[in-house]
Amino acid sequence: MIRATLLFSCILVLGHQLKAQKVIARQGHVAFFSYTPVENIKAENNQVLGIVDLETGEIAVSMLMNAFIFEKALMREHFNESYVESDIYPKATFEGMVLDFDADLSQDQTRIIKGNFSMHGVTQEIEIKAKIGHRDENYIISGTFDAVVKDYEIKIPPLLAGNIAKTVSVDFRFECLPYED
Amino acid sequence: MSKKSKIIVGAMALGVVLALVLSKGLATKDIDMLNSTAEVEITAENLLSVLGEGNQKAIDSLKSERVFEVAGWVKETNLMNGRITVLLKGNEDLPPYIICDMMPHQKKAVSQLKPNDSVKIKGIFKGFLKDAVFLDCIITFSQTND
Repeated sequence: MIRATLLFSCILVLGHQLKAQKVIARQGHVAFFSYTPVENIKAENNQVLGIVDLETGEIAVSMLMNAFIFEKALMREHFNESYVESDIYPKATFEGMVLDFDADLSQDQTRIIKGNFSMHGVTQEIEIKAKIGHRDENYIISGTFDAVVKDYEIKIPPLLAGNIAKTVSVDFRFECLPYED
Repeated sequence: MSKKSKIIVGAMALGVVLALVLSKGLATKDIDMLNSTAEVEITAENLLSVLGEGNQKAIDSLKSERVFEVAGWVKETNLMNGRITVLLKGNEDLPPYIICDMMPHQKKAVSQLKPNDSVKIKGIFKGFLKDAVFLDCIITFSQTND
């Protein structure tokens, strides 16, 4: 009886440890929008990496700046060569924490994600409101935030100042699956 | 020709030149992947081994924005985020993978792919995160492995 209880306890503990502690999105989606009276610019990146530690709520995101897709090739060229200088700063990253995150909650939860967003060699602390859905072992994290272009030392030539919004809206959606590596 | 006329003609010529430059710029087309030649031909296994070894020098030697042709096996195909995507794997069915964002006209060809099919995919190498990322991809060869 004691042996059976011990065995059952071991299985319970091991089972808990085997449960994925991290989830990963290899094809996370990040899009940004710039609205001005002159023109609207939209770009999206569909290969954004996102990893979430379900126990601690830590979150890390990394994206290749040259993997944004634009409607016009010239926009992509300006973005990579003149604005974000993707050859010098190839990645944008976010490292932070989902505050009050409950990985076991089965219904959607709205949480604040606080952390450091680095782009174009500049790091800013930001807070983002995000919706987190939980289906089986998968987590879907989505939300929107605004980024002020000048905060990241992105210089827009005066001639094109009217074409680019001072604040761009950023949408994100990460469909995270159990981490396997 | 009077000085005034010269200025008007000069301004008009400048306007035409500017319009041509701008229209050429705005009409800049994405790369013609069908007719482009691969600068690098590599197997998925070799490409992923560079990433797996974590040798930064070797990783940096694989310059982005070049056209690669990668031979490997299909891990999966998906339409996540409304994009047509093929994930390639090396010899083992384990991450990391090669994420290929396919060109829109590849939808039919991709729909016929099955896991473990042998393929060659040509596309623009964008760099590494956990996986290697390619955009503007097309299938240049496929073979079913049942």
